[in-house]
Amino acid sequence: MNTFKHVGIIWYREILRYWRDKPRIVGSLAMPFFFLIIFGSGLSSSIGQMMGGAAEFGIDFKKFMFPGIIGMTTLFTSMFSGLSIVRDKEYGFLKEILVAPVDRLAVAGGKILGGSTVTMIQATLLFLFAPLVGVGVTPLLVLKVWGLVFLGSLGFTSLGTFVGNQLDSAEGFQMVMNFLIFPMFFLSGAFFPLNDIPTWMAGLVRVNPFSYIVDAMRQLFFQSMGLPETMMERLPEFGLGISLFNTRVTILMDLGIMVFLSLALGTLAVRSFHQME
Amino acid sequence: MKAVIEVENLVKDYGDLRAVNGISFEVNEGEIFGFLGPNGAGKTTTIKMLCGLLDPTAGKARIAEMDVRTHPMEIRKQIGLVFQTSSLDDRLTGRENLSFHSRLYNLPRKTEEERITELSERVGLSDRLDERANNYSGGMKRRLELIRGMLHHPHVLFLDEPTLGLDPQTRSYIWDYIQELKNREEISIFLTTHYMDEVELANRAAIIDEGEIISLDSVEGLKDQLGGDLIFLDTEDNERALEKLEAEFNIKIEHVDSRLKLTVEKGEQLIPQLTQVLSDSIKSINLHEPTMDDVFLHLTGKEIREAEAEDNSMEKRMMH
Repeated sequence: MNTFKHVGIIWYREILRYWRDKPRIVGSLAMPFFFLIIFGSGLSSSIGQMMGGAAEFGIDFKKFMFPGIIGMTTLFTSMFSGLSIVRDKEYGFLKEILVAPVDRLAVAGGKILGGSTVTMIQATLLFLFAPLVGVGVTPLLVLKVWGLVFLGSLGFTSLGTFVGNQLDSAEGFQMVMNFLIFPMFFLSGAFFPLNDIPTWMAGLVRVNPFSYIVDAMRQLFFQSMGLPETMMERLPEFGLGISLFNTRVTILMDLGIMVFLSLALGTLAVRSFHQME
Repeated sequence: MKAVIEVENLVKDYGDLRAVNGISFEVNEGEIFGFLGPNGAGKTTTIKMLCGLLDPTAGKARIAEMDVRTHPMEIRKQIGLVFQTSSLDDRLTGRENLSFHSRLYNLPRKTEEERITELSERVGLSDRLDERANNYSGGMKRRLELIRGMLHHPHVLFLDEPTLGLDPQTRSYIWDYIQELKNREEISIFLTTHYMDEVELANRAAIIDEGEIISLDSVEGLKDQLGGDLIFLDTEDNERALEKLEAEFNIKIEHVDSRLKLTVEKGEQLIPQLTQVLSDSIKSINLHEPTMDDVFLHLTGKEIREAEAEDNSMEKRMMH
C-alpha cells in the first residue's frame, strides 16, 4: 500500500518540476516543428514520389512524417527523462530519497511513470501542429495515441533511467543519450520511407525497438485517415510499414513488442535502483 | 543509560582498501556523540553503514535495538540525516521540500502541517517557507535541511559535517539552532566533523583516523589525556626562573623555543602563585587550555590538516 503512495509522491515531484520549467516545455516543441516545416516542405516532392500508391489515398510526405514526429518526441522525451536522476545526483537530492523508508521499486516506478507522463504531455502538444500538415484529429485518435505513447515511453524511460543511474554528470548523460537516440531515430522509418534501403539497413530497422513505435503510430494515423484494409496490407511494400518473416507487422504485434520491451527494460531500471548506495 | 546505537567491530572494505577497520562504540539515548577525524578517515562510510545504505563487510551495528542488515526500512524511519552537501530540491519551495519528506515518511497530513509550522518557527524560516529553495542563502538551506531531518521525530539524528562550507558566523548560529532543537526534542545526535571546536559541544567523542577509533571518551576526558593546561612563561632569566619554580612546585617544566612550557592541572589557579614566586622578572605569561586540536595532535602525532592532505588520495579512491 505504502509503495503505491510513494510512487505517487515521487511521480508528483517529477510533474511539478516539469511544470516549473516552462522554457523546457516550449523549447521542446521547437525541434519537431522545424522537422515538420523544413524537412516536410523541403523533401515533400522528392520523397513523395517514393511513396508509391499511398499518394492516391491522400498521404503525402508531411502526413507520412507527422506520426513519425510524434514517435520522435516520444523517444527523445522519454529517454531524456533519465536526466532527472542525474540531476538529483548532482544536486544531492537523490540521497534524501535513498535514505527514506521507501522501497526502491517505488522510487523506480515514480521516476519511470513521471517520465512517461511528461512524454504523454509533450506528445499531445504536437497535435497543435496537426492543422499545419492537414491531419484530421479525432478524440478517438488522441486516445489511441495516448495509449501508444504511454506504452512506448515506459520502455524508453526505463532505459533512460537505467543509463542515468550509471552516470554522474548531465554532460555525460547527454553524450550517451545522443549515441543511443540518433541511430534509433534514423533507423526507424520515422523520417523516410523504408523502400529501396540496403539490406543491412533493413535488418537494423527490424532490430530497432523504436521502429515498432513509429510503425504502430503510423498505422493509427492511416486508419484514422480512412485508409482501406487492403491498402494497410500493402504498407510494407511502399516502405510505410514493416514486415517480419514475410508477414506484415500489425498494431497488435507492435504493442506486443512494446510490452516485452517495457518489462525487460523496466526490470533493468528497477534493479539498478536496488544496487544504488 | 540505554544505548541507541551499538557498533561492534564494524568493518568496510572497498576492494583492497579498508575504509573502516573494526570500530566499536555505543551512543546513549539523549547524548550528542561526536565523531571526529580528517576527511577520508571513514566517517561518512560509517554513517552510510548505520543508515543501511552500505552493507558492512563484517561486524555488527544496531540502531534502536535493530540490526542494520536485517531491518534497514524500520531503522530508516527511526533516523534523520543531514548530509555533508546540500540535498534540497532547488526547484521546489521550502515547504514543498518538507512536505515531500513527510509524505515519504508517512506522516499524517495534520502532523505534517503542525511539525512544519513548529520547526520552521524555531529556526526562523516561517516567513520564507513558500519561496523556492534556490533563493535561500547557504545558512537558510542548512536550517531547512536540519528541520527536515527532524520532521518525522527520529530517535537519532545524524549530522554529517553539518556546517561544512559555511562562514564562521553562520556556523555558530547553526549550532545555536542545533542546541535549541536538541533541548526540545528527545533525540540523540551523531555528529561527524573535522572542526575541533564543534566536538566540544558533544557529550562524548570518538577520534577516528585511518578507519580506526584511536580514542573514545567524554570531551573533558579526551582533553585530560594531555595532562592539563599549558602555561607559556617568559622571564628575564629563564634558567633562574626554572630553578625557582622546580624548588617551589612539583610540576613538569620544559624549555620550548625561548620560553618555559609548564604542564599543569589547573592553570588559572597557578598563575597568581607564579607571579608571587617570580615577582617582577616575568615578561609574559600565557595560559593555553587544550583544544580538540591538541588532542588530535597528541593522539596521532599530526595536525588534522596534515592528516587530510595525506588522506586525499585515499578519499578519491573511495568516492569511485
